[in-house]
Amino acid sequence: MISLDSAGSIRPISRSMWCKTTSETAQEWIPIAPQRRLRDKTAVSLPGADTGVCIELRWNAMGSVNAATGEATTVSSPGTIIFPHSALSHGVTFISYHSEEPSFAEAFSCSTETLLTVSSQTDAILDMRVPLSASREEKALRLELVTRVAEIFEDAKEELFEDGMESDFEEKLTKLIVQYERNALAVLRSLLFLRSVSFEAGAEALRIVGHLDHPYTHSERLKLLEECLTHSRFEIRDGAVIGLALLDNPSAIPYVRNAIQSEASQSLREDMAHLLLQLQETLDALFPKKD
Amino acid sequence: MPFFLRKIRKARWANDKGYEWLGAEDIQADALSDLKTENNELSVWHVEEDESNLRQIVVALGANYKKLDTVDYALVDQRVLLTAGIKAVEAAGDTPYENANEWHRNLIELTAEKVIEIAKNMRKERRIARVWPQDLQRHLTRAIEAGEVKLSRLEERLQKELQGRTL
Repeated sequence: MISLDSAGSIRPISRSMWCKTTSETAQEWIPIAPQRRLRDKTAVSLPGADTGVCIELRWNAMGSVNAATGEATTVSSPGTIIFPHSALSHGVTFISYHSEEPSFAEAFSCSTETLLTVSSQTDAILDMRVPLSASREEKALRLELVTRVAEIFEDAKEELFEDGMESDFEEKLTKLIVQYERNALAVLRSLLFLRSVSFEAGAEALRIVGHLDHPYTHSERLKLLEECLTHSRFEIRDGAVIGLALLDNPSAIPYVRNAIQSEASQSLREDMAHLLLQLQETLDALFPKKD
Repeated sequence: MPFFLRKIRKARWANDKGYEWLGAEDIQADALSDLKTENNELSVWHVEEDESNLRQIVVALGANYKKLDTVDYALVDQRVLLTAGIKAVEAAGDTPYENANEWHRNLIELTAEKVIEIAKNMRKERRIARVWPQDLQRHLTRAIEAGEVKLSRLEERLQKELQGRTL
């Protein structure tokens, strides 16, 4: 969360932004931090950005990325870009910049782009990892989905989830996953890992992800659940354990084993051990051992 | 002494989440959503001291589901609650497992203090457990095969999952 105290002093944002390079040899996500919010500005450190580098800034003002363009800003000090606060309060913001700075160019090629999203409800900056190679349409779709998934989570605040029961949240999320498949799951992942949603609803989402009978997204749902086994929040890890029990795919066994090693909660370790046993039984049933 | 069983969400009752503000004996405020009363009454199930009817109650709860899921529950000593002045009355349950419905009870005339007392005892006794979807599926299938539960009385989605899904 980003917030500004009453005195308007600088408060660091707890999470990192990430950017993607276009280098053929270094297709890695790298953290760009720190970010600080001033009274009416947000300062973001971007690698390789130096004085004079031109920054293009766009945001989604009316549900369409193409409909609005933001103002260009320049780097005020080496590696730091100051955005007007207004630029980061219109929903989704897209930043791209080019750097000729030698060390940056050498390490990461010379072009980087980052997607930032700012939820109007939570004022949280979200990370959206869209491949640079993605089409314009795909980028626009991801941005639209951020808003839609965030709205589904917002509506879920009114719901009390109960084991075995259906919910409006389930209906909406299921529809979105079935329709938008990996793009919807990628957005869900971002929301979960940037801790911008209710953890109860996040855990419920993972049960839904595990329960869904939709072969086309099976492997991506499995991957999301595996990743969430080591999430920083207990509730999300618990939701991932239940989701994996529902999905019942033994491919998760190594991930569950690793998660048990790092799990601090005894009760959750026990649940993970139970899950491991279930998955092992499923594996044995699929490939019976010969005597 | 027998127990009362209350259906809960286990994660709301865990104290080892790594939250600095949550002490080992504390109850998270969110846990109280598992003790939501209606007309100042709380739905619970009577579990025999030897837990001989526990499986049937789990099946009854699961038979009311719309889809396969976990069944998380807490057991609390009846004596402790009755000593604290909490009243229980028999009130037949409404589940497709008719033989189990007789074990349903309502805790009545509850004040906020009494609800907190229930929560404290659930926390103190730490008899919180989870039945996994796969185990629930087995229990339900067995109950259907034994004629204890009619498949046709289950929700359509649950019927389909029991018939077509291998967990």
